[in-house]
Amino acid sequence: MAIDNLDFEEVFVLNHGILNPGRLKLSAKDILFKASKTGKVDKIMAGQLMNASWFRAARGYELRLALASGVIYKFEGFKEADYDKLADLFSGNYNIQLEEKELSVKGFNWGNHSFEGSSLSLNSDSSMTYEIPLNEVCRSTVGKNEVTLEFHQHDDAQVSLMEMRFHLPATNNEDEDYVQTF
Amino acid sequence: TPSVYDIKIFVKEKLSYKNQSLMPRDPDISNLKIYIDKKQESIILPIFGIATPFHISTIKNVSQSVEGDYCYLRINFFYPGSALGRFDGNVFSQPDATFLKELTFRSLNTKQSGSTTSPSMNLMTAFRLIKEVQKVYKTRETEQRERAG
Repeated sequence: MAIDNLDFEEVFVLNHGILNPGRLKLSAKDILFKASKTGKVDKIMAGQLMNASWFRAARGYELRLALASGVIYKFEGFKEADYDKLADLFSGNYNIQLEEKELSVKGFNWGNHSFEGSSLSLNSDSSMTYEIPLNEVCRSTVGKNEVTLEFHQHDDAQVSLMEMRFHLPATNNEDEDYVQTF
Repeated sequence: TPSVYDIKIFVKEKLSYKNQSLMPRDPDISNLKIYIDKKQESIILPIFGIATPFHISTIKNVSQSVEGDYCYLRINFFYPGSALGRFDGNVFSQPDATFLKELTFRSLNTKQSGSTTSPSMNLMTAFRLIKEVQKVYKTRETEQRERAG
């Protein structure tokens, strides 16, 4: 018997580099997240889902949902054991495989930066190292072999990432992509 | 001058962790703060919800500044063309890759009500610890180089 409903009373939605607590309810039709501080409800219809992935993040495990519209939802605070239940629900109701990802933790600061939907991620050794949601970028500048991204600042975050600067090898037209993206 | 063989020793890549299960678990990490793992000589940075480790050997220098209500921590990484102070350009196993060059974190310098420390404490501690780990690492590297050479 496949699982139709799941209810996580305390997980976190990642927004602007801050984890906001709330309750996540998954049913055959939709996914609801209710923020416990503001009471705001996010609703994702099952039909909008494009893919789902699962990996260890800063707080427990992260469930990353990508919608067909390009919007990405990131929920953290799951336990390792939640994977089976979630994978079951996703395959049974949404016909989506919950993809388990191993992140690269080798400690490299190089690799391939690639765009996927509305995010930019660094892949070294074919696994992801980090992912930057592009809606967090407030400004980008392109210099010689260099791209700078500045991020929106939120005072609620205790430690907030402000700026990232990348070095691109001489023959690389990736910087054009950057410009186009913003 | 080091021989080709010697260079190979230093080029050998230094890893933070072999896999994710070896990553430390610490409240600082789950609270999206900076964490320094002295044993693995790695710094774990919160990058949009992902705890991302960087090995101390990738870090060129760190600097800290206070402007107004905020404290800033800037981390500069090594990348091709920044080889100053490193053994030589050969250190980069993938010079054609895109490199992360610099990261800046910002934190409030003022105490919030009900808290005894300001949020910027984490950046200040990180700054101090990165310097410490870097010093230990550099000293050891120099000793190894001298033994080999």
